[in-house]
Amino acid sequence: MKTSIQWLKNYIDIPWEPRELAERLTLAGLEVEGIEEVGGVAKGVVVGEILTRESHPNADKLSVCTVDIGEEGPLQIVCGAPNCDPGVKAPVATIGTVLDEDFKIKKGKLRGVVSEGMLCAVDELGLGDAHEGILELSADAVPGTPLRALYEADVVIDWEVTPNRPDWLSHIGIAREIAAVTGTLANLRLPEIPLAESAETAVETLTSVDVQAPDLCPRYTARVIRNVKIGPSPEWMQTALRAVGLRPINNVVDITNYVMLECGQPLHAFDYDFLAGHRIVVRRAADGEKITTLDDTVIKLTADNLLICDAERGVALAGVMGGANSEIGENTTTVLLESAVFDPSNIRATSHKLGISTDSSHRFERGVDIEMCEFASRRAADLIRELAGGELAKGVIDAYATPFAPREVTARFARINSLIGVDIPTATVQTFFEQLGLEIASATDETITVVPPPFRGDLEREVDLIEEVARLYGLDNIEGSAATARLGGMRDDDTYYPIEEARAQLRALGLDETMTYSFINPEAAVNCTGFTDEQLIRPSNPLSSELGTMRPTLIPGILQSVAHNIAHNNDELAFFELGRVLANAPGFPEERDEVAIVMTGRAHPERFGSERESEIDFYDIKGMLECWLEARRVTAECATAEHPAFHKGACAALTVGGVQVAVFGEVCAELTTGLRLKHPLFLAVAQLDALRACETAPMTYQALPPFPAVVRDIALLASASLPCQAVIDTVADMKLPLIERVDLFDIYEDEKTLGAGRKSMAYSITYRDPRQTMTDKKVNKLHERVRSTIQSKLGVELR
Amino acid sequence: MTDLEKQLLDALEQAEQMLADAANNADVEACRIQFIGRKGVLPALMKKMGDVAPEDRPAAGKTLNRVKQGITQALESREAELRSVVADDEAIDVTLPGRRRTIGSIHPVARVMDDAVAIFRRMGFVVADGPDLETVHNNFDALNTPADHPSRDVQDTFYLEDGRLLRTQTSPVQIRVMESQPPPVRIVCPGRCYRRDTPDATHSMNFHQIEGLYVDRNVSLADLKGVLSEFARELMGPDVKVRFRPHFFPFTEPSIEYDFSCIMCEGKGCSVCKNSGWLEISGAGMVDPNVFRNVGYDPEVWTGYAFGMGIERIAMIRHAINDIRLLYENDVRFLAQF
Repeated sequence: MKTSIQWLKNYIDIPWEPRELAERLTLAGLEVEGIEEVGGVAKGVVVGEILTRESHPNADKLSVCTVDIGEEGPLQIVCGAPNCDPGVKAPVATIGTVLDEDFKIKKGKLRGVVSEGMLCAVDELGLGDAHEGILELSADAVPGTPLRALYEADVVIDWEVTPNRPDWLSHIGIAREIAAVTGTLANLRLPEIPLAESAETAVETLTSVDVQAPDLCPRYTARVIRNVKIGPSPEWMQTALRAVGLRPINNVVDITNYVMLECGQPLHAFDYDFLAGHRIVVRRAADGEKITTLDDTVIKLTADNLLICDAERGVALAGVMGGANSEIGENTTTVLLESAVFDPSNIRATSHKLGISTDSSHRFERGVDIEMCEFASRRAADLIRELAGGELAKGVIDAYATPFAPREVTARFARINSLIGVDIPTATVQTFFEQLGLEIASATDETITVVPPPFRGDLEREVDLIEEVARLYGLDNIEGSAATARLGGMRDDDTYYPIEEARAQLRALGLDETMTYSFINPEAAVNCTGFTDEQLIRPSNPLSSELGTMRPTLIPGILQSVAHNIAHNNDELAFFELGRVLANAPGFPEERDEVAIVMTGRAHPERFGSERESEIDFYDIKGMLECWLEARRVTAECATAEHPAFHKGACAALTVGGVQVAVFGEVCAELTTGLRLKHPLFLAVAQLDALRACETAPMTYQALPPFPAVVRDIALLASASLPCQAVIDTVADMKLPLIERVDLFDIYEDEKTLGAGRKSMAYSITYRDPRQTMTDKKVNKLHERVRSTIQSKLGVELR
Repeated sequence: MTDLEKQLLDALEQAEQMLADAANNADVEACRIQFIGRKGVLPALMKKMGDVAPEDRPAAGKTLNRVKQGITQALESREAELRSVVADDEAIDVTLPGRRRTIGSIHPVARVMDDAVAIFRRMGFVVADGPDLETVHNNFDALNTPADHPSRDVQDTFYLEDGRLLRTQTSPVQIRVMESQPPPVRIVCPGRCYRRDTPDATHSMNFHQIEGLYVDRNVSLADLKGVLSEFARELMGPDVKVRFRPHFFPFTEPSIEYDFSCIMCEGKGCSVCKNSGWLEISGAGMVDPNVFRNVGYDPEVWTGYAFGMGIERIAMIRHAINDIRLLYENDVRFLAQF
């Protein structure tokens, strides 16, 4: 909602500069979207008096004038206007003046004659559209006076009006707010309406109004003005409309707009002669009924739309836009003026469904003041009479079935103070209410009962009044109390700790955290992810088909992040995402928290030589997961797995007690095609909830071993396919309590010395007795048992 | 000086020479065996101690100890020298790049969320959580949102076929918590929200919020101001001020919007705060009595405040990030800065 300061001053005195006004009202709840100066005249434009006028020697239409601008010696100015006669006082743009932001006045020759400035027309000064000659100033203007002193610039403030305060969508509404904030309601000046009606013709003889849908149109007023002369509206009105961004059209249309901006009531003027039967019917449109609106668009309606009709057809889409068939035009002589109130929800639905939003619908859908309706009608009719020379038919047709019933609202002083947390005296509260225009119905020591005016439909409850007190008291004046520290609940109930912890752990492992959108391409969602179309959760109104589904897994998103980085030559990547994924799949609780990790590039790109070339491989991502799980006290088993996102043979799963908690490996070719990867890409996907479920509590402290360990090695020749873990598991199955650990320390393959399909593996076995130092003899005996068991169980050859 | 002492000192000299010539651990070991091994020089000389005249014995004994210590020390230090790969006279190039162990980074949005949660926890709040897929009841109805409120439009809110929606705010967690427990309630709810905004520099189809709810007896607007002021100072610095402006939200009354004084210009006015000196943060207010009625709390007994804030907005202010899409693009050159 844009207001002009000059316009506002018609109704209220403003004790502040525009910026301060904006600041004060912001703190009262009227937020400012922008402040702009309009109508200001450029610096360097001064009053000039034309002393002489001669014809230009080389051009018929130009004159050469001498102009006094209050300085020594007059200027010589070449002018093309017809009215640059001696004695005329007109604005002169002196040398150096910049008009219209980039038009700089220079000394120069026009058709061979020197010109030392420019005599200006209205449009050249940005004061309006007029270009019929130079602007003639009043005779008492003193040459040399800066024009800025005569033409005060206006300031327009654009307010962001919250939906609960439609009464602020007008100049009078804003003026009322200024009055409330300054405590000057008594000085509010509403426009005087003389309303000279012609006595002979009663409006009832000219028209009638039949409201067939009173639920959607609680009030409809009509006036008729005859013998109207359509023409431009006066300059003051055009300036006012232009200042707030409206284009002047003609006097009658301008008046309806002006009155709407003045008091918030949208109006519509019909050409009476085009109304079939000269009457108005307000009804629901028939399904499929059409109307052509003022902007020449044909709109197909349904029974949900309210239509203003004449005896035969629709003439306006109620509250939204007028129809082309009854538009005010140059030849209009009789005007039917509509001032009505429509149901906010209905207008909102219509405006929304048809995609038409107008100044009128904007106000109706927020709710207009039903009592202001008739006032606006009188005001506009009176202006039409005054400015378009019309004759007002006597009276008004006012279809107003259920008149506004004022209601009382009571507030308790104690409650006001306890909810705000202040101690405001009762008298102050009462003053606030009075300045807001609330009628004080009664007041006791404990309570105050008020009657809100009809334009304050938002004041229904005690708490609404409390908000008004807080607003006018000034939220800035409320002293913040010390932040309280009463406990909210148990740490275990706090769902954020595990997430925070997981992120910190992954970060400590050297991974950058990423975040991707929850919406992904449905094709990507099922491409090598293990999910099917039916399992996806899709919004029914996605932004686009490419963003058609919620992510069932982080895989497509994190690969997109990889793609972005590779495309920007970031080839060394190690990052993760922790986020919520959604799907309808077996074993999937609709929403779960997933972790995805990607790694690609070189292990040590910062180094040199062969070390620099070493690539991240499968065991880097495996090690990453192992370290992470260890930090979370999860012991998982690792086994070959199959998952469509990974290369066959380079994919493994981690399981705990048979439940898979993570799957990882090298990303399959189908997903990496087109990525232009320089190195293989590794991915891990872990289920955070599953991981959390198998975490063990902090264990009992284990005493540090007091006796030394003895390490014995074992080397064996095995089939190339024997997994490393088989040897470790075989030893573990022996359940020898004195074996502390088994570690692989070498693998060696060489066809020449070992034969094809064979490899040599070497393990070190750590023995320790917690009660004594182990003797060689005892270790040797145990080690021999281990050797023979491995040999017999695994069928390997010991070396 | 007795002969024995001379022989001992000779042995020390020889051992030191041998160690100086030692090229590897084996040479050192050989030296050890030769001089202090069981059959080595020193044990042999020690046996001769009995032959020394009694008056010379103390001196000879001292020498023996000194030599033995000297050889042992020489052995250890040569061993240590040999362990080092680089000889003293050829120092390593310390300017070669080190082998790095990177520490990763926390996403700037998550960092703000972590910080916010930490601050509110210290004030006694506990984190509560809710699903991303919500009911219309929890997201709108119970929060007193009018049936034809524009935010419910399919233009603005993502719906599912089954009538549920993707939560547009973290406020439904308030409803979940209040419907499941009696007052008092002191929770914050960080989480992801969804609005049907086409991504541009300032809009994102998903974003994060943190919501706070405090319900107790005699909770006032002044308490809300206290908490948010404290929060602002902790998050943005000790000099940051909070400004309240009246506003309108369906679920609070009175409703306010709150601003932080601009951290860039300290309130003097700059491009970040559009010369206002204030940064608009978000909305808050006293819980509307209708919301309390919807969850079965008696608004005459209980009062409370609720606040919410956009995490991305704060992260963008904090790091002077001018395009929200950077936060979802995950360029590692961007991420590594946090």
